[in-house]
Amino acid sequence: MTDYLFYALLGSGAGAIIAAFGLGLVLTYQGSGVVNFAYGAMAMWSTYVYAELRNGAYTFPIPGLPDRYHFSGDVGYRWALAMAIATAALLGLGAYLLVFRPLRRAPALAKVVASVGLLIVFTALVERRFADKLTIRVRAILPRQPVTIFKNLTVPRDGLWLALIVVIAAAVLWAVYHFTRVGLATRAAAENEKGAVLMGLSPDFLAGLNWVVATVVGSVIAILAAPMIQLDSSVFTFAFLIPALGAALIGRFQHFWPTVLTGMAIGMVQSTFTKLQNDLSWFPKYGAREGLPFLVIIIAMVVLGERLPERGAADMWKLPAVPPAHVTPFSVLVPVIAAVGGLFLLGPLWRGAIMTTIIASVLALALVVLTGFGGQTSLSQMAFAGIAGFTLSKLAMNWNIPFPFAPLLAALMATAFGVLLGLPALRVRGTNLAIITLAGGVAISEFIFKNPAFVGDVNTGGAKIPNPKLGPWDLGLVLGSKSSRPIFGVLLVAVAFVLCIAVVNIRRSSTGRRMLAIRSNERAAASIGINVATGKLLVFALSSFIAGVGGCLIAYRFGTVSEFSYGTVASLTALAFAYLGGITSVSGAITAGAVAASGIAFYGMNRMFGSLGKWEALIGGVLLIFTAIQNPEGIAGAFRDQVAGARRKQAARRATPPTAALVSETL
Amino acid sequence: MSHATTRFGTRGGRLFAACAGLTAFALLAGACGSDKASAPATSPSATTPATTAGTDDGGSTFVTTPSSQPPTTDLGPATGEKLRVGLVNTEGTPGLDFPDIRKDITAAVGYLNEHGGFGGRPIELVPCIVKGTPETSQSCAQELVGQKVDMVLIGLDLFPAYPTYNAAKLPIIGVLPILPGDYTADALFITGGNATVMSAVAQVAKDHFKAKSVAIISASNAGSAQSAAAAAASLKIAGIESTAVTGGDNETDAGFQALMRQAAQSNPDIIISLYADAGCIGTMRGRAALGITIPVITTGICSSKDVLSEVGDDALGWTFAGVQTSADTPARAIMQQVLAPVLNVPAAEIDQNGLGLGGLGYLTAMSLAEYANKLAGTGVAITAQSLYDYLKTSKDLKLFGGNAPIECGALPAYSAVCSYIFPFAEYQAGGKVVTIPGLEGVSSKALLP
Repeated sequence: MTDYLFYALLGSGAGAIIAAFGLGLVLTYQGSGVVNFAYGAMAMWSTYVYAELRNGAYTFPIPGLPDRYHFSGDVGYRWALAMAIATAALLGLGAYLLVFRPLRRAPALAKVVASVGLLIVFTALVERRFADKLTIRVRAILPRQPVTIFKNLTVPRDGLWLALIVVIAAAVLWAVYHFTRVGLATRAAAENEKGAVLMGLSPDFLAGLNWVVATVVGSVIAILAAPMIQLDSSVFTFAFLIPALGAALIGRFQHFWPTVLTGMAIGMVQSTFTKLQNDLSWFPKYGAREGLPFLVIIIAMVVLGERLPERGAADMWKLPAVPPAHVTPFSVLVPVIAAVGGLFLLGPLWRGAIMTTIIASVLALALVVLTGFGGQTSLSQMAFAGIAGFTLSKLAMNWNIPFPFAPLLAALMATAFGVLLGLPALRVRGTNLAIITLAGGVAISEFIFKNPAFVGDVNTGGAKIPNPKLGPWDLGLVLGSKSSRPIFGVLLVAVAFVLCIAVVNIRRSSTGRRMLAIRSNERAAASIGINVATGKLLVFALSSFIAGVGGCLIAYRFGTVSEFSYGTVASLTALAFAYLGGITSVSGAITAGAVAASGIAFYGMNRMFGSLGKWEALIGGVLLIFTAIQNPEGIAGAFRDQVAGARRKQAARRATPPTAALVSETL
Repeated sequence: MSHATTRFGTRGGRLFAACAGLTAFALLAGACGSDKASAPATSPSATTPATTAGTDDGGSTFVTTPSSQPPTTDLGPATGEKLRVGLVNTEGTPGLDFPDIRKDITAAVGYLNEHGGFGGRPIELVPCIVKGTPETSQSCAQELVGQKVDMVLIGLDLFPAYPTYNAAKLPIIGVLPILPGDYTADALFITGGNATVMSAVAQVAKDHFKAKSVAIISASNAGSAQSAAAAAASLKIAGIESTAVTGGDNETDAGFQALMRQAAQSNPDIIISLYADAGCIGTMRGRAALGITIPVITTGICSSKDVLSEVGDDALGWTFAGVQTSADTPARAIMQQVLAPVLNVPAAEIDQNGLGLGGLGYLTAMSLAEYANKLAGTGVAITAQSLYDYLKTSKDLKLFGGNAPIECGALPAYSAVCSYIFPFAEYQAGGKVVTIPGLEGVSSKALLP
């Protein structure tokens, strides 16, 4: 028993970080109704700033400005901490004023997308500003000498200190929220903004204040915790954020103490898994730690269900308009001919960009069906692609199932998982569904994609995939002395073409209309006899099938796949570019493919402007935020609007008699 | 130690770093180290070469002949046709972030272009960054083929796209092999790689520590598990029992302490730690805090200045594979001259034990230049293919500026591997890392699975 207590206490530091992040998420939600997926990333930036100050430089986040201001040396931990806290406060305030204040009355999806954009921006910033040293060991602040609690129970002191600081922070925040005017007004505004106004406080002020406090709390704890771990761009961004989301859900994004206690408990229980893995032969060797937050989130969702707060509930989860699907010979032939022509006429580098564009378009199509048509959201779409990619490897390599049966079966396997992960969508929606899919994606990645029992032995090169062959024709990318065969690109074009036509037809069919009805208003849809549950599951099934096909195309392209192609970052990136391109139309999906990382748009710009590629992710994140705020129908939607506007003007000019126009101009 | 610190998007990065680091130090030590102090760093040509002794695969003593003085100091700028070299390296992924390899190779190439290049041909590097995934490796391969490079130099790439390079008939020379597929690839790796290092560690556990049982600490991902299995296989050949203790890719210090406690629970004769960076610090502190006295063998990357300055005498009882006593040699003088501007530290502070994988990249570039110059001296035209063939077939090559023999393809099962011998050193009170007598050069051949 002492052993388990020892391991649990060792997890107090990790538990404290989770609890603090949970606190920050609650604060942000209470203040502004935003579940900030970029919360960990913002704390990460402040921590990098602190670490670099200890090396004698302040790091600026804005591209174009100088990278750093150099001091004569280490500024000392007090000054570094003070400047890092000031940075955190500015970040919190800036994020609210520039990103989330304009989205105050926007659909919840726009807020989710904006926070994902913010996450991408901060991750990209760290990777650019610390390109030559991404992993940093931060100097200790808290005392770390071991402390003996009783015989045979000696643990490091720093984790316990951190836990104590978080508990004190929670107590202070609880007191502020319960006994001060600002706190009471914040709680009132969380229920009804008029309540805050009646108390003489601006909801804007309260929201900004909560963002600042939340960012500062998270940053301070991250800075104090950083010496216990090795700082890198993902440890705070995802690793602690997902269990923190679980803790915040248990606290219903309202209550501090349940959030803090759950966060602590998650960290401490996870810590005992090291011992359990060695003591119990049946205990999972892979993914158990990552699976715990997922279980917490699932339990919270299922048990608490609709009682979980969703500000404004159904009305807030509105999506961009879905345009009618027009198919003309021009709209079909031009992209196909352009793609095939490019594959054969351009060099291997352009060919690669075209292939990337096509595969990214297919993945965006999956999100068009899921989110654009179905109104559901998923932050783990690439997990389905991964299920298909790894299944394809098994089917083709181990069971010799040929093309095209192997990829079809693999996509069907992804469909099954899609339906499974779609089940929670029957009970929850909106931001809550985004959280559950995010955690589900992480669990799939950790349980399955990293487990050699499922994905093969990475040491022999990962999950291999043979070239696709149709009878005597090898359609693979690499064959013999050819390292970039256009015929593989033609296969991609053919698959994408079929899927685009299928999605257009879904949009025009009665199935598509039912999807749109559910998306628009579930209760209204049910009242006219539409089976909402079946409709939602159908959306998840179709979407995950398409994602599965996309996963197979990735697998065929690279010949070997790993969990990296299908992880959380890939899912968020896929959503980001799908939204950027236009998440409600097929043309939006194709646009998403064009602007995707390493797609034709970025490749072309790289050719023209040189080193733009270094800032690719950051530009994508900024554009995503801009799109969420200004242009929710994406690039394709904006283009459609421009064309429609021009046509309207043209039509108006034709309709106006010349004399009337002359009079009008004279007047 | 929570999963909470396990990072997404890494695959055994710590382990790879550890093993890679081990190999790096082995070669750096072999190339630059010596038990015998010689000329000051500022006068590289005045050195009396050192002699290194060790044991061969049969366990007997071998003596390596020291190489001649560094060959590149008296050559002028390269003026021939450019040799375009694609440089593939893993960067930007947490746990798999090795920009120093690229930076140090780039620095070496800058120096070489002023001192003869590759046999008179200036070198143009075409860098391509991978993220530790088969997908990005394939993308890089496509890009380099598209860029029409003459050869590929792999810094650290877990999943080199050999079929693509082979289809384009590009010679591949690598810094260090990581996964088993590398060992028999149509490529040449200057260093030994994971399996050979683990085999040497098993040899030391058997001969030096007389171990009967060993606990291996590693990360819980697939890659780490497989590499730990390679260590276990070598230990089994040596007749040593082993148990595995697994943790996350990136534990907290508390987590590493827990792993140490778990490893010590069965009271093994030796603990082998396959962690790196933060893992070095965490396991060293954890062992000291728990009062564990069982000796630990770990990788050379744990002997870096960053780690030892952080833990101090908590490193007592730790043995480092691939490390030996630092010494001033001509090669070290050139290294200091080339790398000081890159590392932004005074030249005198540059020490082979503190360079990590970047130093290995530097060493590879310099070695290739040395071989190219030798080949050019025979009248053969320097091309990527001729350099590759020379490296593959020559029997008398040494690592740049040192004594470590280059034996490409010496074992058929490891046909792409060129190095098999590693020194071992131990931490001593006050911060010194000193070669263990009798372990100046341990061969890995006998216990390779």
